[in-house]
Amino acid sequence: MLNHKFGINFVKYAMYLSLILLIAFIALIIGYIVLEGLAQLNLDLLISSNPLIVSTLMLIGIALIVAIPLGIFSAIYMQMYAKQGRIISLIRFSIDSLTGIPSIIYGLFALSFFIYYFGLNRSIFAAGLAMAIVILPVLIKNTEEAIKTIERSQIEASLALGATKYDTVTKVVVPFCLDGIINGVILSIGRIIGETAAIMFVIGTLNGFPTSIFEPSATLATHLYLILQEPTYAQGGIQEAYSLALILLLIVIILNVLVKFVEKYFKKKRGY
Amino acid sequence: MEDIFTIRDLNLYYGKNHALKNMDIALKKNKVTALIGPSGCGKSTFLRCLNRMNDLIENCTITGQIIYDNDNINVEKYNVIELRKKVGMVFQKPNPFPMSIYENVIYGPKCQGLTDKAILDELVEDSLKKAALWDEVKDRLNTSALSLSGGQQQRLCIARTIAMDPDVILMDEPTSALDPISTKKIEELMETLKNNYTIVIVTHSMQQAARISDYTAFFLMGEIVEYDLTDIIFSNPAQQQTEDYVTGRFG
Repeated sequence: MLNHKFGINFVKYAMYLSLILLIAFIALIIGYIVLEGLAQLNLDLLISSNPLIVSTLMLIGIALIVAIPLGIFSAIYMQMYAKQGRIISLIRFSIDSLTGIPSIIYGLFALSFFIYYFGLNRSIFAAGLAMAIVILPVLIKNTEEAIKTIERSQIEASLALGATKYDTVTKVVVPFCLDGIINGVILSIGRIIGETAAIMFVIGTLNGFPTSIFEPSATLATHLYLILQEPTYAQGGIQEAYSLALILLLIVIILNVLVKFVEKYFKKKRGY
Repeated sequence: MEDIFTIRDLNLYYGKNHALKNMDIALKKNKVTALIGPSGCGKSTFLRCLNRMNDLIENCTITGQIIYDNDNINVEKYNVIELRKKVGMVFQKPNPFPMSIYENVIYGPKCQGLTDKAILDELVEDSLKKAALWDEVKDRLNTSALSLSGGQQQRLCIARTIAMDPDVILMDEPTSALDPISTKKIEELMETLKNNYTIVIVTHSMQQAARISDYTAFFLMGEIVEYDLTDIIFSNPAQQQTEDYVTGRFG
């Protein structure tokens, strides 16, 4: 009895401890970036990093616009329409494997496929396509998992009411897996914002304020990477890097909050 | 008396498993027919043949004739959407959509392209009244259907089916997930519904079959052992197996 109680307490305290450690680490990271970043952040720097912010947002926009429909449609097709068999299993296995590939491989592919083979300019657009490929497996996986959680009886209820498969998919399946899609989008935004290797070679170099998506540019993350590579980083470059990191962090938070609002809006509109 | 469904030589296979064997049965119009039998005897599978719900199951082959309204529905080219508009279904577990009560009721008609607000409003009120739910929910039609109790949810599912104005309502153990009071309400509801609809109900409860049905079919191992007036099945069945089952000797 005593041992049993000790065991329960041990597990309880172990859980508390891990939670405290987790919070401490997050607070440490965020606090450090915020403090170091704020110390250096001034109006000049904010203005000078404007092009980076804009091109980062453009990149996110392009990648999501390309990947969201593709991801959702593929997931719906694989879960709802395709005959489950060897081919679908193989595709699923490939998608799982794609999520584990180092991003430099995607970079290499994007460079040789979009730039050399198709002759696209190094641009935000090319980088957006590259990122769309990177996040596609994430979106498909999340949507598929969400579709799997829909109770079979919900789908049957819809069909039993004389709804077509199309109606069932648009009115029952998609709204219900909204959570999963949103989750995938949030993960994707994080992935795009932080990505360097997959886009470094296809986005080109910063060329002032991006006036078009077909121009070369740089994102916050790729610029950060470059700063840290330069030999001058010891003389102030590192401080600039912290401010950029702070801006990055803020963008991630703001975008995630925005996405959550979109989710709330859709849910409210559907009345649940 | 008119038959609404005539089933001839129905056989169903899940892969190699012969689940329904040589079934011949005629279901009466505007009556309640109960399908009873032990678990796994094929009664739910049989019920799902009547609105072609087994189409969703891969490797399921069905042979024989299922005549509904003078047409064999067990042919590929039969319009299954039209069939399901006329043959509605209520499931074992209440399964309202996570939408408002109002949206749940109009789901079916809306899928058919009905958009006139006035007609829809009327349809919602009418269907909920027929499902004996209107008084309980009329002030909160726009709240989530999931906020209702289990029994209310099941009546909502019945209202949702009624909104399609079907001829037949198939019920697959509709009260097995409900408490006794909710069960009683649903049973009373069936009593009034049978004036306008044909009801085919699968039930595990023999008392329920005896209370609510006009006809009863006893299923065993994929075969219909006996089909007759409920009174006869429960008082003077022709088959020994039926008597053993209804008197509780097995099952």
